[in-house]
Amino acid sequence: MKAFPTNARRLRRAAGEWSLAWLLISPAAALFAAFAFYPLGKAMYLSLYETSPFGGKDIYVGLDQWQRVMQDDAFRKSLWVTGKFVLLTVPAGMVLGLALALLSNQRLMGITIFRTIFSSTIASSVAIAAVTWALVLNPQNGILNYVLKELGFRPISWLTDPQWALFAVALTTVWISIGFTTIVILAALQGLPRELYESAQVDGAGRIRTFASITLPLLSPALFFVGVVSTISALQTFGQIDVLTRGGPLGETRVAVYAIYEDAFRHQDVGTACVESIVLFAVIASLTILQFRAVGRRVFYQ
Amino acid sequence: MRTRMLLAHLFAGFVVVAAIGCGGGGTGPQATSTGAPATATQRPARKPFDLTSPVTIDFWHSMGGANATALEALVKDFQAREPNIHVNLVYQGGYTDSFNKLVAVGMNSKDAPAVIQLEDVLTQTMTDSKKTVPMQDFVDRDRFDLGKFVPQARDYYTVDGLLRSMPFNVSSPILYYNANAFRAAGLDPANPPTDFDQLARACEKLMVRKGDQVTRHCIATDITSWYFEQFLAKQGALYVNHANGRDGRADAVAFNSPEGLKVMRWWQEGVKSGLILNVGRNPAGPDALLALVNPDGGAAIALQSSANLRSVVDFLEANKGLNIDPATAPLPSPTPGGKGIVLGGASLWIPATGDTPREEAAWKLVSFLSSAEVQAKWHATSGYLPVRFDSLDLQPVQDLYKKYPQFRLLVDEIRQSPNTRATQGALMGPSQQVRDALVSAIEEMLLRGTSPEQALKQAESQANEAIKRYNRAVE
Amino acid sequence: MKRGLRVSGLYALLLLGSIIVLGPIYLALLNALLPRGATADYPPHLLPAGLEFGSFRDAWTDVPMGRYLLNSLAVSSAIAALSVTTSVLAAYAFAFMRFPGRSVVFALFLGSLMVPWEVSVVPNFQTIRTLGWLDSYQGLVVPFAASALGIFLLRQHFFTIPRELRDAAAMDGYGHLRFLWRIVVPLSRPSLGALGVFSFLSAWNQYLWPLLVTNSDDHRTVQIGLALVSSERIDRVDIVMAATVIALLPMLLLLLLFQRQLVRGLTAGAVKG
Repeated sequence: MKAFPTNARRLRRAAGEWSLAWLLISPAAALFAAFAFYPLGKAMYLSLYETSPFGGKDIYVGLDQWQRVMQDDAFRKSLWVTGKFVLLTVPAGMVLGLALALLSNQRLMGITIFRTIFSSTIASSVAIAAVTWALVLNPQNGILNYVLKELGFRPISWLTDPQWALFAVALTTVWISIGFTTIVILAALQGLPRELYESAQVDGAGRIRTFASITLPLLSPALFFVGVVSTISALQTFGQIDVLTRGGPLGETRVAVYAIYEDAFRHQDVGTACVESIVLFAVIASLTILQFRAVGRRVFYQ
Repeated sequence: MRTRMLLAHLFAGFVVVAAIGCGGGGTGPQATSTGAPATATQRPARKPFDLTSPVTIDFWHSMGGANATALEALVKDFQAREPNIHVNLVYQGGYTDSFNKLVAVGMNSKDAPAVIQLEDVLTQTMTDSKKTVPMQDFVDRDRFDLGKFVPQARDYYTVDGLLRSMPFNVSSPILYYNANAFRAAGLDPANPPTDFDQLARACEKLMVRKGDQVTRHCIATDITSWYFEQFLAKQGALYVNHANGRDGRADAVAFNSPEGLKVMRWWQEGVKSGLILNVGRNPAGPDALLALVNPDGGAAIALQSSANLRSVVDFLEANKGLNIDPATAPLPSPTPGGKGIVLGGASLWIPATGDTPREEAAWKLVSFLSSAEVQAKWHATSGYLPVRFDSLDLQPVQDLYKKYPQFRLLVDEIRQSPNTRATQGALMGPSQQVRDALVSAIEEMLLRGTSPEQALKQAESQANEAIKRYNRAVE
Repeated sequence: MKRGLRVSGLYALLLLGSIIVLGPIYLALLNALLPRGATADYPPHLLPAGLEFGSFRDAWTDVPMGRYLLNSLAVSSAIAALSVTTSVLAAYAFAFMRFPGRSVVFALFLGSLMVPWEVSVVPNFQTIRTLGWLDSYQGLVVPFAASALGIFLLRQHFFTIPRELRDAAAMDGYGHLRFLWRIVVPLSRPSLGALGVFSFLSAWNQYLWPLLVTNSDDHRTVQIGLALVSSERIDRVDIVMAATVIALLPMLLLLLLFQRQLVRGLTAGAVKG
């Protein structure tokens, strides 16, 4: 009998805590529901319908739409281009970031100036990068072609030659990412324990061996992080392509996100765009899981 | 020359009178309908309206460079005259960007602009949307005189006998060249090539080779299906079936023809031999023009829209040191004697938002922008042709021609172009996809060596598929 | 001698890196300052030829770069402030409170990280259109007002706050909200700052979403404004480049002022793994 009031009080207090907890998470929950989960469901729904260009009636076409999109060469190509783009940008960005971070980790006079310079592309954005690189890459009087010509090479139509366009966009993308990768890797480098290096020196290990057997393993969490973030942002690349090539020439720079944008907002074909976006989602999700499975476990955590 | 111009004037006037007599605006006895017959007489007349309270309207446009500055000035003039109407002039990127944005926000929603400037090829799509106020409604109510309009431009935007949108800026592809380079090569700059054969002969003299490498090309072009369309019109050939979609809804393209093939072959062979410098897909980009000023290669002639003419002369004015004497010539015809030209460009549309004050304010702006005085100023300050002949007699245009005779050529070209189905432009729904298909085909041909026959066939089947899907969706 | 060689080698490499990084920006500035039309010269200018600041004036007045910057600043600040707030609240509940469904909801929140933005962009656009939020600040801000990553990182950080602190505070009669505000927030200031900086930066760099939902200069962000200027003023490379430099300056300034917080914000994920 006696326990009852305390129980009730405890219950009441617990109920108060529960409702407070729910209150605290509700803003985020509402936003996720509205802008992440609802759209996911809606995309799946829309992927089964053919929408008319000016609104109005949607026609149910079911899995026929999926079949059509999966067999569409242009979409398949866009997945392939996306993959190529990731391979062109992520490793190059990581190597460059690592190199610049190692350089700016040297104890030299004025090194902080160089550190600031290397991190400065973080202040840039895709639009700024694309507009400035359009200047660099201009086929008629851009600096790159000028240098090529002076060196006796043929000038290249960077943004309109199907062999070079994706490379040119990748160049721009790697350039923007320099700031981020350098900052992250440099921060990790500065956090490495000095003692290990001292003992390595005592052991008489050379520079290269020290780097390979101590620095690189210790850097692996940072490198992994940079790799994951760069991969995700490469998969989402849009702005540079919108400004520089609009997916051309011959679809060579039409990455999956651009294909989705083009189908939804240029061809007014929302159903197709939704199928494409779900496929891309599946690809990204399985890649992420793979990345964590394959690399994540081998990363050396301190 | 004088007599020919006079004749053209008279002829234009005659056509207009005849057309108005039919209560439509088409060129035939009665423009054929593609869907339900909708003639002006069956439509409820638009009620008179007095704009009393202030209105703010958005005007979406796609003008860049010198043309943007010129348009801003025109809108400023309008504001001075109509203090009750506030116009937000908003640049929306290219025509396609602007159209996509319109569809995305909902064509007649509250986010839609009161006036939107859209490219000629969107005419059928905009008409199919049924979400615009036909310009004919205002024209009929206010007895707005279309008589002095350039007939081809007016007829382009006339669908099922109704003027759908107001022609605003007309342009055509032309040749830009440096007269000094012509003289240096022993050519007469006053007699530019008018067909492909003449062009080839002139190019032999203009090209510079070092060994077997071409160091100066003859003509720089970007890749756009617009040039292809114009080359067809030059030959009097159709782009889509059912008389370019004017005698019934087009259900297939017609460009896979001997005329189309001739253009594609010229393009591919030209790039192969170095006669053509391909600057690639370069929408609104100046790369072809930049090739003219590149002393270290480049090309002697650039093929570009006349819309850039103002920017070019302004640019050269600011750079006298370049030693360029800018000259222009009409687009050469694939076959000798071809004079046709599609007088497209863009027109002004009024989305049917149902907000009467907004629609009426929009009409005030549109009718202002298409008046003779404003069109004269527009022609004189932008690279565009006026949409009406009576603008040509006005002072700003006369001054322009005195200073830059290059502009006069543009008007001469219109006067010589016959007004036929081929030159009124093609009506079809998915014009953007059809253009995309052609551009891909041209790229495949120029960059991957696909045969012109194969490339055209591929473009044809892609385009027909797009047309089929579109027609199914709207019918 | 050997050391001297090594040092000069390092400096050479540092210089090369600097040229790669700064080269494009230098060219942008150079072209902005060139006399009108000289931007098309061949060979291209590598050194300044006169200093014409008129392009900056045009980029500021003809093109409303100021307005674009202001819009970006407002939108990015709002996103940063809101996402930090929603993240703190939710992370606190997950770290310090017990309630039914906690683990399920947390898993769902993390799951939202798996829904990439490009999948939701088309339906989200339709949602914003239905709400009548096209071309508005709400439309730019609200979809980004919560961050699953932020909640996750803050929750991790909150776990490092000793539980005893909570118990002691409870003894002093602190409720959850007071504890959160008086103890947790001050203790987590660096993490909150890092999250704020990160959210601000990613909001500032957004391109696709502002491109879709804005349609007038009243709300266009600097990214969209710049992309439009580059096509609208294609005949005036000097103005386009001046606009680019203007767009770059505020972030460059922030970088110089808040380099430390920025580094923290960007490395938060890496260091804590």
